[in-house]
Amino acid sequence: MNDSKLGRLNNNTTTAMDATLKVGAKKSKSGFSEFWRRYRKNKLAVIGLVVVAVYILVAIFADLFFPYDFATQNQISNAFAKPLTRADVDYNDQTVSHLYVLGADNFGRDILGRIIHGARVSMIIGFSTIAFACFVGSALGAIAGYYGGKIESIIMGATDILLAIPNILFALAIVAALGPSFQNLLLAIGITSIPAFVRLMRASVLTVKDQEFIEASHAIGARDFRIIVQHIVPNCMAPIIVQATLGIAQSILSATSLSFLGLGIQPPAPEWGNMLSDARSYLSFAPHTLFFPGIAIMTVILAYNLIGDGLRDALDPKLKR
Amino acid sequence: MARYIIRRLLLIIPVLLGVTFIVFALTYISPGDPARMILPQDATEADIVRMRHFMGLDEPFLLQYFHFLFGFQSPSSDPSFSYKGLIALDLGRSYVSNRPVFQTILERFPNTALLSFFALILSIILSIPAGIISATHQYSFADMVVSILALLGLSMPAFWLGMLLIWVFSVQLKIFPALANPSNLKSLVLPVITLATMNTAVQARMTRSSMLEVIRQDYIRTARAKGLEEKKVIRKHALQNALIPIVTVIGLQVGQLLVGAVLTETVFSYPGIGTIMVDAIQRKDTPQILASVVFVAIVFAVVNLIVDIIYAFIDPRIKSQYESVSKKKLKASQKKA
Repeated sequence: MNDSKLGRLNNNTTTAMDATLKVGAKKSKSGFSEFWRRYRKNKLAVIGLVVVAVYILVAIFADLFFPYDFATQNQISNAFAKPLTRADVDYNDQTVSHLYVLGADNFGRDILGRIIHGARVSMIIGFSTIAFACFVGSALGAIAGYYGGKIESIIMGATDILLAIPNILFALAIVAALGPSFQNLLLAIGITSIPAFVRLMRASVLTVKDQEFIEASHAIGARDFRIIVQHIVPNCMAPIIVQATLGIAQSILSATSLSFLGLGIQPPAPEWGNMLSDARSYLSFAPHTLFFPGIAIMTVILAYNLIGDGLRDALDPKLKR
Repeated sequence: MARYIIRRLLLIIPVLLGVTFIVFALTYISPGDPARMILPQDATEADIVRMRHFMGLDEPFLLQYFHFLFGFQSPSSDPSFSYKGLIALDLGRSYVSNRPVFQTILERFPNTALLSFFALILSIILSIPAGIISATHQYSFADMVVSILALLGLSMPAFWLGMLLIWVFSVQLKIFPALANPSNLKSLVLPVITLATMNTAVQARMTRSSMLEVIRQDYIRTARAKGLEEKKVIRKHALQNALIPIVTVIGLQVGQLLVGAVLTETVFSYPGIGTIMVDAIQRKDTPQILASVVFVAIVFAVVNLIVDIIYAFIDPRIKSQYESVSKKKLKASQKKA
């Protein structure tokens, strides 16, 4: 008898779940076009999207735009060439006339080429680390805020431990311990990005979970998972989206910062932080080596921020105009 | 309230244990042998084994961690290999300078604290009023200016900004020196601006978005409807609730300040704890790395503690959760019934 009851219960749950899924699918479809309609209104956000798309294309097709060797091989005779100078360079044992659009660095390497190849590194770091941190951090924060008690103490304790080690140093400790590799840098930055999401999500959940509509959900017998995912999390998304926006910026910044300190991606690999680290020694007489890599970093981070703002305005019904 | 604070104070112990354990473990598994590092190049294998014994490096991992916390008595006659442990703020001597590691840190930390403190104050003074004005006058000219400046500040890498400031104010205009020193207040202007920019931008944005969220709620409309002055509505009703995420962000940003200080100090060659860390890591000066990280961790933990206690003061909903256990039990028994 117990079995049949259980079976019926299971059947009921499945149909209920199917129904929810169907409704959810319908909702998200119309939801997306509605979201896109609102997102489109924000011109800056659209510009941000275009800029990031350009950077992604540049990152993917970097070799088409600029041969890698060109950006890494030394051309000492052309050191500190000013922007828009034309000079002879050795390439594949041939002498080629080359236009330095953004000038050359201290080794005579083309700055535009190095920026293009550096884009690849920064794009991968920004995307992967924040996707990882946002998912893990939000889940942990929601659980901690909703359940409280021991689970909260454990999660927030772990978060405090992670927070108690400065990002760069923790990232460095990980890279130093596991060996300096690109994957370990990703892991290090990803892990150090988690705590912000946990704390923010928990703080938001704490303010939402005592409100009447949550009590109402409890009253009609909704289960915890459903309450968290359907009712609490959507009401906490605005700050999380802002944080994810800042997070991608932070992540790219962390990577360039580590490289700037000479402790991240190692030269001669083209990386924006490396380029600025070199530029520091020559900024009094070759400011172009300082300007352009910095502008590259700033533009891409600005673009992510504009997208984030657009997303927030488009996603949060409370902020509708 | 007292219960909450005591609870929170007790929580700091596992935090510190966790931090020290992670840092110690990472240093332990990292390649490179400290004994080999302090011995001359031509040392024999036997010398190295003996040195490892003197330094306690041949002990099992957990015992080494225990030494790290509570002190180590070296079998060598040389007292410089012994140390009293973290508990006595003594983790031995630097492999590079042969000075007690905490002596260097305690000498230099006030410099970093000074820089961070100025930057924090500057960022709070600028960001919160800017964020409030931006939110209460949404889509106005002021809002646009604040939003654009905040976006630019957010997108600017601190070390790049620092170098740009040096290029403009030191190289071109020759107003401020390019190298900073705590004894010269004028030289601190550029590093403080550099360090504060990111925080100001983050906090202003958070204040704006948090205020916007709160301002749209019904109780704000109620407050206005009952004829309350707009100033009071903002200050008493809106700001108090909007502050919760803002305090979270400021708390997190204090950590970012110390990280930012590492970069700012490097750009301006400022003698702080950031430059100690970078040097120690580059030279694999293990005791100095451990001590710097653990020291900063203690500072961080205290900051987190303060942030959490401030939460309880500004949000009574959080305070009430910890107020009395018996009330919770009562509720639970009522639910059962």
